Amino acid sequence: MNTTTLALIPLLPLLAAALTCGIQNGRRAASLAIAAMLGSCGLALAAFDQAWGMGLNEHITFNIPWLAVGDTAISFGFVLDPLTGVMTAMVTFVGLLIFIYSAGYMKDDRRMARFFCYLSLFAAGMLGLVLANSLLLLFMCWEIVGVASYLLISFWFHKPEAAAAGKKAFIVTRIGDMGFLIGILLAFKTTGTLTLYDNGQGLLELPISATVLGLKASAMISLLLFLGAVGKSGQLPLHVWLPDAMEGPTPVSALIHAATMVAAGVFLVARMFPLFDVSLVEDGTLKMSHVVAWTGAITALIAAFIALGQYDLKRILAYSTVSQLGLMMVGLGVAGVSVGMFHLLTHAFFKALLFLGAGSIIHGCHEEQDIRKMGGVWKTMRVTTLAYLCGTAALVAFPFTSGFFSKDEILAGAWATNPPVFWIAALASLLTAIYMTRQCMYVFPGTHRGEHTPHESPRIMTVPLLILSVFALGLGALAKDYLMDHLPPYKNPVAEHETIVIIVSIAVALGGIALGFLIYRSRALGQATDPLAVTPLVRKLWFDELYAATVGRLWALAIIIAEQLNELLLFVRDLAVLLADRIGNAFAVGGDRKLIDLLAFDGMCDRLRSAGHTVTRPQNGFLPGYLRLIALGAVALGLLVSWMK
Amino acid sequence: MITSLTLAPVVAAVLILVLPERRARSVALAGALVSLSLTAYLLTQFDLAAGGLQFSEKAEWIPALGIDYYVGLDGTNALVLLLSALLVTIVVAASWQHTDRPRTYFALLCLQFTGLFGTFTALNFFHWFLYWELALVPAFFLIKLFGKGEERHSAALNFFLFTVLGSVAMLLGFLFLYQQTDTFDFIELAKKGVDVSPLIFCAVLAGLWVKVPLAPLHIWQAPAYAAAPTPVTMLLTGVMSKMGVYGFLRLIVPIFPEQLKQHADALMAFALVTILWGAFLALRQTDLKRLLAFSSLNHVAYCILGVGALGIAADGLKVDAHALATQGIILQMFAHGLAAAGLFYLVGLLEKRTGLCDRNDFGGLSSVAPRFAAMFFILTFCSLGLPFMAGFAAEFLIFSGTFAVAPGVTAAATLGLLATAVFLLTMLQRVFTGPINEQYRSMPDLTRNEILILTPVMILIFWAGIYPTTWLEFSQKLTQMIP
Repeated sequence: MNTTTLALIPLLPLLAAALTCGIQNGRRAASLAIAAMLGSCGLALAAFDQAWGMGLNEHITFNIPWLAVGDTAISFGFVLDPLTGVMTAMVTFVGLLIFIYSAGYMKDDRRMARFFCYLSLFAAGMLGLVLANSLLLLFMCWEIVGVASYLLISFWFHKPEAAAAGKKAFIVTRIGDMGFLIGILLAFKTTGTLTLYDNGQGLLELPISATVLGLKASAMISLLLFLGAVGKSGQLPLHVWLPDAMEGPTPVSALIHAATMVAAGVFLVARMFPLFDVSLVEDGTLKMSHVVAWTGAITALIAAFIALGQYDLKRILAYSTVSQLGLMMVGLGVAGVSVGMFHLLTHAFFKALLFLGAGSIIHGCHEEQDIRKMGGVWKTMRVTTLAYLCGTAALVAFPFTSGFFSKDEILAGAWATNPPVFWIAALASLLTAIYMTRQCMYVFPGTHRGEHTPHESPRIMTVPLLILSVFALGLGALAKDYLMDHLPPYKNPVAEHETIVIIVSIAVALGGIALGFLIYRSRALGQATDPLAVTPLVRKLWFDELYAATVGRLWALAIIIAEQLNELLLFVRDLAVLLADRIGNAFAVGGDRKLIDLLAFDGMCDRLRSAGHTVTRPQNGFLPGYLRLIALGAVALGLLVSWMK
Repeated sequence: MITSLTLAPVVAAVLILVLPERRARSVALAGALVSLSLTAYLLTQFDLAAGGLQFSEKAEWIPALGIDYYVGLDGTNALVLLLSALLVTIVVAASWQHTDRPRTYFALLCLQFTGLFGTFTALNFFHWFLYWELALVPAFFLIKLFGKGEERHSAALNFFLFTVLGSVAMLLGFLFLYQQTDTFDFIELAKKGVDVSPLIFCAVLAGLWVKVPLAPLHIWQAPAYAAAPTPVTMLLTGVMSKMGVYGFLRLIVPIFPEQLKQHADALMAFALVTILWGAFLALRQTDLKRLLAFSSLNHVAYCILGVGALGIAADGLKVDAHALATQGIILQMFAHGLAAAGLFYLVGLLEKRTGLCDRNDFGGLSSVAPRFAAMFFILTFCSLGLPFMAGFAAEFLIFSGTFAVAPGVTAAATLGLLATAVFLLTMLQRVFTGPINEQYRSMPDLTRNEILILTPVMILIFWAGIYPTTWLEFSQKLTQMIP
C-alpha cells in the first residue's frame, strides 16, 4: 500500500460521483458507481490484509502538506492501521452490496442516475473520513457525508416531509458539528497540529498538559469532539433527526442511517480514544469515557422504549439503530476501542440486512410501511423473510449469531467496570428482543391485511440479502479474536466473562422473544389496540415537542429581538433625519428667512424702496399739485422771511 | 500597467458615450476584459518568493502638498483585485440583456469599475479617496435610475448618505494625519507611525465601518441590495463590501497598530454582534434578495472578527494566529465575493423569469429547472461553509486565528454558522422542494450562456476550497510583515 493506492479508495467513488452527475441514463450510472465501488472494495481488502499483519500500536501514515500559513502548517493524509483497515473493508463491502441492491430498488425512478451520484459522493466522503490522518480532513469528509445524507434523505423532494427531514437531519447534526469544530480549534490551539499520527508529533501522540475552564485540555477537546459524535450517531439529546431520516429511499437508510454514517460518531470516538481515556481533571478518577458510556446507556434504553410503540417498519429499525449505537458507545466507554468497534462491525452487517429486508418487504407490499397493514408476508416472500429473520436473530443477540458475541463483550465489560450501566444495557437488550419479536409477529405470520398481495423482490435485491445474512450469522465468531487482538486495549477477552453475564445475556434475548411471542400470539393484529403502543411511546416521548417549546421558542425570540433591534435602528435613523430636517428648517426659516431675508436683505430693500417711494411720490406730473406746492412753498417762504425779521 | 488596467473602463465609458447606443455593451465588455487580462497577467508575473510591493508606479503629482501618484500590488490587494476584475466582467455579461437606456447604464458601470480598481491599487490617500468616492457615485445613480420599485429612490439616498457621511469623517481623519506627518502616502504613514487621539482613529474607522458594513451602520444595506438592479447588487456585495474590509487591512492594521491593539476587543465584539444579528435577521426574511443581503452582512463580518484578532498579542502560541487570521480574511473576501455574486445572479435570473423573488412564491423548482437548482445548491453550500469549497477554507482559517487569541468570542460566532445553515436550508426547501407551483411549471432552465457566466465562479470556488495554497501564496509573505 502506498499513498496512491490508499488515496484511490475514496477517490474512485468520488470520480464516479463526478462522472454520474452528467449522466442521464440510470443503468449506466449504476454500473459506473458499482464498478467504482468494486474497485475501491478490492483496494480496501488489500489494505485490510496489510493491516492484519500489523503489530500493536503500529500504523502507516502518508502526510501531504495542504496549507502553510506563516509558521503553521496543516497537512492532510491517510493512516493505515487495524482500525482503518477493518472500517474501510466494512464500508466498501456493505456499500457494494447496497449499491447493487439499489440498482434493483431504484430501477423505476426517473432520477436513478442522480441517486447513484449522491450515493457515490457519500461513499467517497465516508471513506475519506475513515482513512483521514488529520482531524481537519476527517471533519471535512464528515461534513461531506452530512451533505450527502441531506441530499439523499430529501431525494424524493416532491414530498414535503422528505424535504423537511433532510433539513432537520442537517441542522441537528450541525449543532453537534459546531462542538466538533470548536474542539478542532481547541486542539489546534493547544498542540499546534491537527495531524493524528506524525512520528511522535501528532495530536494523538503528544502529551497535552494545558487546562481549559478547569478541565484538562485533552478532556475538553474530547468532550467537544464527542458533541459531534452525539449529533452524527443520533445519541440523546440529538437523536431526533434519525427517525425522520427514514423518509429517504430504503437503501439510503441501510447504508447511511444504519451501517456507516451514523457509526461515524462511534468511529470518531474510537479514533480519538487516547484523548477520551484521560481523567477530566487533574488527580480525578472520572474520565471522558465514563461520560461516553453513560450517554450511550441512556440512549440505548430510551430509544429501545420508543421503538416499542412505533408502527412504521422503518422507524422501528431507526430507533433500534439509535439504541444499538448507544450500546456501541457503552462498549467504547466501558471496555475500549475493540469492544465498541466489534459491535459497530456486526451491527453494520445485520442492520444493513434488516433495512434492505425491510426495503424488500415495503417494495413487495406496494410501498406500504405500516406494520398494521402487513401480515402474511412469509407466504409469498420466502427469501426475504428468511434473511430478515437472520438479521433479527443477530440484533436480538440470539446465541451464536454475530450480535450475540459483540453484545456479550459489551455486557462483560460493563459488568466489570460499571454495574449500573450493565443493568441498563441488559434492560435495553430485553426491550430489543421484545420490539423485534413484535415487529416480526406483525409482518410475517397470519393473513395479509393490505390491499395488494405481496410479491417477492427480484434477484438483484435478494442476493445481497443472502450474502449479508451469512455475515450476520457468522461474522461474530470469525472477527472476534482478530479485533480483540489488534485494537486497543489489546486484551482477549477484554473482561472476564462471569457466569452471570452470560446467563443475563442469554436470558434477556430468549426472554424478550418469549415475552413478545406471548403478548402478540393470539391478538387480532392491526385491529385491536396494541398493549405496548401506549401514548408516550407512540408520541416518541414528546422530544420534538419539548424542543419546539424550549429551543425553538428561544430561537424565535432571538429572531424577534434581532428584528426589533433593527426596527429601533431604523427609528433612530428616521429620528436623526427628522432632527436634521428640523435644524435645517430652523436655519432656513429662522436664520435665512427671518434674519437674513426679512431683517437684513429684504428688509433693507423694502426700507430703501419705501423711502424712495416716499421721496418720489410728489413728482407725479400733476400740474395743479406742483402749483399747489409752489403756492404753499411761497406762503411758507413768506412766513419764514417775515418771522426772521 | 496598473494604471492602464484601472483606466481601461474609463476609456470604455468615453467610447460608449461617443459610439452608437447598440455598441455600448460590447464596449463595456471589452473594457472589462482588458482589465481582467491585465490583472491576470500581473498575477502570473507576481514574484511570490519576493512578496512585498510590486509593479509599483510612482509619479510626482502635487509637489506643493507632497502628493504623489502611487499605485502598486502586494499580498493585500492581489486577490481582491483579481476578484473585482473577474466580477466586473461577469457583471457586464450578466447585464447583456439590459435594454433600458444602455448608454447611461454601461457608462456608469464602467466608471464604477475604475473606482473599484483604483481603490484597490492606490497607495496614496489623495487619489485613493477620489477613487473611493468615484465608486460610490455611479452606484447611486445606477440604483436610482435603474433600480426596482419605488423604494429605489430612498434606498439610493440612504446608501449615498450613509457612505458619504462615513467618507467625510475619514477625510477629516486623514487631514489630521497629514497635519501631523506631512504625508498622504500609506506606506510612509505605516513606517512613520502615527500618534493620534481615539477620535481621529474613530473618524477613519467610520468610513470603513459603513462600507463593510458593521452593525449598527448596516441599515442602508438590505434596501440597497434589494432595490438595485441585479448586476449592481452583484457588484455591491461581491466587490464594494470588500472595499471596507480591504480598508481595514490597508489602513487600520498597518497605520494604526497601537489603536487597534487598544480597541481590538471592542472591534471583535461589534463583529460578533454583526455576525449574529445578520444571521438572525436573515432568518426572518422571505424576500430572497433581502435574505441574501443579511447573509452577506453576516459573512463579511467574519473578516472583521479576524481583523480584531490581529490586534491581540499572539506571543507564545503554538499556532501563528495572526498569519492564519490574515490569510483567512483575504481568502474570505475572495470566497464570499464569488459565492454571493453568484447567488445574487441566480436570484436575479429567477426574478427575470418569474417576476418574483420571495421564497414563498415558489416550490419544487428542482424538477422544473434542475440545472438552475444544481448551481443554486452548490453556491448555497459554499455559502454555508461546506468543506472543499472556498467558504470553508476561509472561515476555518479565520476561526483558527481568532480562536487562538479570543476563544470565547469565536465559540459564540459559531452560532452564526448554525443560523446560516438554518436560513439557507429553509430557503432551499421553500424554493426548490415540495410540490411544484403550477404557475412556474414552464420556467426555462439555465441557458448555455448563463452556465458559461457561472462556470468561472464554480471553478474558483472549488479550486480555492480544495487547494487554497494557490491563492494564499500571494499573501504568504505579507503575513510576516503584519505585527
